[in-house]
Amino acid sequence: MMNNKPIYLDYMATTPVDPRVVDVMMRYLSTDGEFGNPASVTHAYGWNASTAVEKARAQVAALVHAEPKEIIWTSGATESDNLAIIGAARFYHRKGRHIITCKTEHKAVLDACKYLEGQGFEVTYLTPQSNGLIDLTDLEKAIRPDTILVSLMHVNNEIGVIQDIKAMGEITRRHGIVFHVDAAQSAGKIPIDLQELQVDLMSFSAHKLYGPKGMGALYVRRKPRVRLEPLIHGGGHETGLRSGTLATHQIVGMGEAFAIANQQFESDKKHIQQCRDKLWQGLCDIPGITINGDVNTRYQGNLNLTIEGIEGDSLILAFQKLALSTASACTSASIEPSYVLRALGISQHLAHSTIRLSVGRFTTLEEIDLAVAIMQKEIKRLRAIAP
Amino acid sequence: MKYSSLVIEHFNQPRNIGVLDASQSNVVVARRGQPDEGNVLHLYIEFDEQGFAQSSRIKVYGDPYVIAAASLATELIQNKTIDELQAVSYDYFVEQLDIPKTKWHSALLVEDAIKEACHAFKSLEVSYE
Repeated sequence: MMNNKPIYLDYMATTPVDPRVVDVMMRYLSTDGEFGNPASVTHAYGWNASTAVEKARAQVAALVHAEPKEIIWTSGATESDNLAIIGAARFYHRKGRHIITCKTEHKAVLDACKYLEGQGFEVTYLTPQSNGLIDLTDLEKAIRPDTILVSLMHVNNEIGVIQDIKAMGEITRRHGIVFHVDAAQSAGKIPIDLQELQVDLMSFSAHKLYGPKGMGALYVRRKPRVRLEPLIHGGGHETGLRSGTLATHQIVGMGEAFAIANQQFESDKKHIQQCRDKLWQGLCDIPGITINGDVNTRYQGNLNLTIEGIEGDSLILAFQKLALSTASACTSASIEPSYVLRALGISQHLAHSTIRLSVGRFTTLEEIDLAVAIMQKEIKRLRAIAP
Repeated sequence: MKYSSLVIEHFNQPRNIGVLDASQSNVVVARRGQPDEGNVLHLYIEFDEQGFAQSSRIKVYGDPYVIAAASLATELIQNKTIDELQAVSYDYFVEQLDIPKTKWHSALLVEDAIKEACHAFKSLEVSYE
């Protein structure tokens, strides 16, 4: 993206759709392609669309070593999280009404849990350690006889830390508790093997992995079988778990994106690591810059940095030639620092001076050099004018 | 946040950055704000024998509005009398820089610093008498 647009360093917000994915999607839209409704069983238009949908289901399943019939199409990870959490809570409510999650989860999980609190469920919000990782003894201690669900994310969307979902799954399985993992930020980026992991429900997003926005999936384990109450009714699609006409072009896009990520997993990983490391090498000698989240147990494409001595809004304006995320959310009246950073014990003041940089498949080393030069220059300039 | 071109201009090239020798009898300094509140301004003003502001310098930490307002203030201060400086209000910066209501505290900080500097200069005058 070496034009007059800012250098894109926000791959954890979203990714561009891979051109190979676009090519496949275009074949399922118009009269010259397979535009049929996959639920039409009476003609070739429907059969061909259905075949494409099932191929995509197998492609998504293959990336995470699941069975194709364990993949349910949704509109994105937010819907997947809602279906997993609310769906499991409603199905298992007679067994208990206690849920465990973490303060640093994505809002899709936290807000679904908050909704359930209003419906008579109790939720325990674990506090992570200062490096962002959850202490497994804290998880074990939080489990009660009436705990029915644990929902914890794989890779954190802000600080990039990787939770030990293998060990967590062993704990939840031992206690007979359903375990949901939001893997929106990890699928295709770090290995996931659902044959080995004792995870019951897993959320995926297409647009975080060079697929289209508005498309996601939920893994629902069949052995041992996990049951959910559907949230959407009307036609009984997706084995009754998610009604609604399937968006064939979106689905084939997600399938192709996951297949590409599977094929070039190692080369993507190597390239992204190289870009992130080069970025950090260029910044690490500047005094007063710290990485938030565990330095080693983190996704290779993420840097979450607190830059002391520069106010947050000034950081963003100074870095206008870079597309990155701040750790603050602007509301109409005030700027709220990131709840994730606050949960790690970082002060409101420092949380406001924090940025998230995330690189991806299409980041170039030349862009990294430019970004480093801009950041070095602006940090030096703004610190020089401060008292 | 979308900023006006004047804010961006002053933010990218703030005027009169630096310090003046506050041990001199005709130099005053006002220090306002706290880092953990997001804004800090040190404003130095040098007055001539007739009581006109001769020059000013700033050191500033904060959001783009406080940097721009402080920079703009150093241009405004030039050749003003103490009475004229005391009349400077945050409205001026709000209007010039198109500062949204949620950020008016940035303009107020600059007004407060100018008033504190005026107060310090008046104290100097009293001590001379």
